[in-house]
Amino acid sequence: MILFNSLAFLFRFFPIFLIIYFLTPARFREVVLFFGSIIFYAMGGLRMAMGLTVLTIINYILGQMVFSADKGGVKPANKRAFYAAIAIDAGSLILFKVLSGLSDKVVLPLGFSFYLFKMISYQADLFRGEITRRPDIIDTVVYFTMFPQVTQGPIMRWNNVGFEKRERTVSVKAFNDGLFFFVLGLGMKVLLADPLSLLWYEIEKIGFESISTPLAWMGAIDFSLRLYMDFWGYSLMAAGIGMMLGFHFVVNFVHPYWACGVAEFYRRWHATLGAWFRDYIYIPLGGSRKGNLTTIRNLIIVWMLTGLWHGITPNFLIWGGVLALLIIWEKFVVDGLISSFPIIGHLHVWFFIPLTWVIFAIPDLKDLLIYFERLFPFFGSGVNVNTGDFMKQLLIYWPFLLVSILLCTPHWYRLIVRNRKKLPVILILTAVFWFSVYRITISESNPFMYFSF
Amino acid sequence: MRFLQMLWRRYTLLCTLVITSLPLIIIGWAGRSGLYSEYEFTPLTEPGLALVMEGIHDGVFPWQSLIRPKEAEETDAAAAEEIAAVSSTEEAASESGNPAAEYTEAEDSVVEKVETIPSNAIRGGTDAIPEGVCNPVLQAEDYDVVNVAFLSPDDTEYNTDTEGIFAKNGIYFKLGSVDPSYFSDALFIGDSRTVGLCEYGSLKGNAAFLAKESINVYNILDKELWFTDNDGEGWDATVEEILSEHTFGKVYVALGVNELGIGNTYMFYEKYREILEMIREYQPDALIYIQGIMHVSYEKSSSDSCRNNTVICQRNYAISTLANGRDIYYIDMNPYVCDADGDLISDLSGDGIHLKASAYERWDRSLMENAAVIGE
Repeated sequence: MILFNSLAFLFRFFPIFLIIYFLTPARFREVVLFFGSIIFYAMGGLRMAMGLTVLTIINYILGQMVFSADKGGVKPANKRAFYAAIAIDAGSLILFKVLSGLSDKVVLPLGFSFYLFKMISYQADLFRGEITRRPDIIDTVVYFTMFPQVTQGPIMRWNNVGFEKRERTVSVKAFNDGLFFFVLGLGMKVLLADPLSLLWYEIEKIGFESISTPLAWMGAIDFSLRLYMDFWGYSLMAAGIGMMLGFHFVVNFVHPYWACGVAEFYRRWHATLGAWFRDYIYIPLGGSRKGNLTTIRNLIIVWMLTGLWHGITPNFLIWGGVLALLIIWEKFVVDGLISSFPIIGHLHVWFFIPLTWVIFAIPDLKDLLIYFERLFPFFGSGVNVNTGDFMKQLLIYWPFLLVSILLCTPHWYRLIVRNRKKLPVILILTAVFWFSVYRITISESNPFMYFSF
Repeated sequence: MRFLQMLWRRYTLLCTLVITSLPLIIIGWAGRSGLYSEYEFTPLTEPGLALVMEGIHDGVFPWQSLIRPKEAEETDAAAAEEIAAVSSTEEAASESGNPAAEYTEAEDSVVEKVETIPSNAIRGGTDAIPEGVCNPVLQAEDYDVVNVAFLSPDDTEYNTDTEGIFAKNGIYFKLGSVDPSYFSDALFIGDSRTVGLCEYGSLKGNAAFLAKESINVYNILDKELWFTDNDGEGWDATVEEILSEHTFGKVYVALGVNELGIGNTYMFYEKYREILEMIREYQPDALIYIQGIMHVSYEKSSSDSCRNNTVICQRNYAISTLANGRDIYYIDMNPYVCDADGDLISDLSGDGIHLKASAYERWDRSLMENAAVIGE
């Protein structure tokens, strides 16, 4: 499997790709990007690459039928082709999700749910006439396979990244900014998310029934931060690579932990996924315009589906359900209170979101219940709890927790971004890059380093 | 020149990255058959600078190539010797038979409790020692995932001493049950598993512990470990410091999980032997307990090329040969925590390698039920 945070990508694939890309005349760059992406993806497994290719071709052919050639929209789009495409895309997504959930032998292809979502939105946009120029085959395959996004998103849309223009030129500014975001994301992933994941591992090792209540809370916060640093870091790397190649920056995270309320949190967290559900599920169902009951129904449907998209174990359904309830609660009960006292919205985020991540993190319901008993110890007592465990872990992990918390506030991040052209920031980033490379090298040469016992 | 200036002004970050990478790449490539010759290098997927990073991690710095080419040659020679030693033991004389063992019963007060030996246990390297004196080595199912680089040939002979501290001289004591006060003069040395025993077992404040995460037989003597004394007070100390400053009645050793992916069984055995020799030197009167490496769960053992029970069993066999049944014992906790296949029961472990906090009482129990009491 090829990852951005691997030596093979950083020092082999990416530099070679960039050199070829920029030596190629602008109008042929898409072809280079296509071949590069297929090679990138095929490194994760040939069979997966075949699957992606087949789905891409099917979607291209059906998409051509869906697209209405008539610019005025007099000739309606081909409904049958559209439904066939949706059935194939959604069908294979559901099929694979269920099979991989039921059996260890079926492995979900890398980035499967990400590129199928792109395919579905592509067909829907064609059907609604939102894509005005007929997409040609090169555009389409590049859109589906482009390596910066194929494995973990963001779920880019056809219209908002600059696919309408064919010749891809890259400004000096865009290239530098892209590199900046890439290095920043790399640091978040390697120097913060990876060490933070060890604390969660430590808690699993002790066994949930034996952790002290302070450690249980530290674990919830740790998991919340680790998921954020991991995913935001990856999104920044992907967006950065995109910029270096001449695409627009794709916004995926906007300081979610600074949000005022759970609903706002999810407009800022993995924003491209939220927007996808909004545009292709929530609004077609009627959104919030058809009365309160329909709104509540739609919210529940959307959040259940969001839960299932993440995984088919019951904890994801509970996770989606709890978020739906929290959002309904905010929208219909405490809406006025939050607007008058924004702090209540912030407290909502800081209190409820880590708890929902605990549900997200623990697939086994029995274990989940035990973890909540440790978070709220008046429901039960632990087994063989060592009260010193919290201090022991805090002394090890406080620097990672602290830096991650600082990065949750918009202020620090903006300070770095605003000064990204200043030499001190550039030097710090260079150090971040090399320290990340160091950590990657050590973990690759000794895959068990993170798990030294 | 002007072009370079323009480049620097426009692409400063790219320039700093490229400029800083150049010396690293050059050093890596230049040292690939010298300073870094011991590291595996696959230029197709790995840049030369990865060698420099790996070196730094192991304390090998680029400037050392200027000052110690000689030393590098010496270590090469030492490595060659070591390999020769491994092969020569295969030719070593077969174990000389022990004379009829003079069996000395342990004190009457000790309940003579020999665990019913599980059907998949072998009497391993404790061959010449009567039953009940040491624990047998518990075997486990082999799931055929093992990387043979971590094993030694099946016919490798381990301890064949007829004199010295590891020799079986015919005086034996049986293992039996004891109460917790037995451990008040005991020291437990080990890795993170022993850290867990200290934190979650019942012996803290009674026995002393000297342990640290990621410790293995190759680095234990060079590192500072965390020492917890009989009163539960703790500080950093090396093995040598603790052994030379204190006197213990029993020294328990539990090592072997961090080096499952380092070297082969014979190298592990030799290092282990050195550690026991050192303990004996500082603690001439202590009973030494070699604790067999605890097995890993089925999930681990059936998927991990080094952390699997096939490697663990072979290594347990190797270190069990060091027991003499007189003042060095081999004890094996695995029957207390493993299923019929010899895999660590998954419910007892959060990660397949460590006991959960709630399961340490099983380790405690195995210690209390398998202790030697030497009669006067």
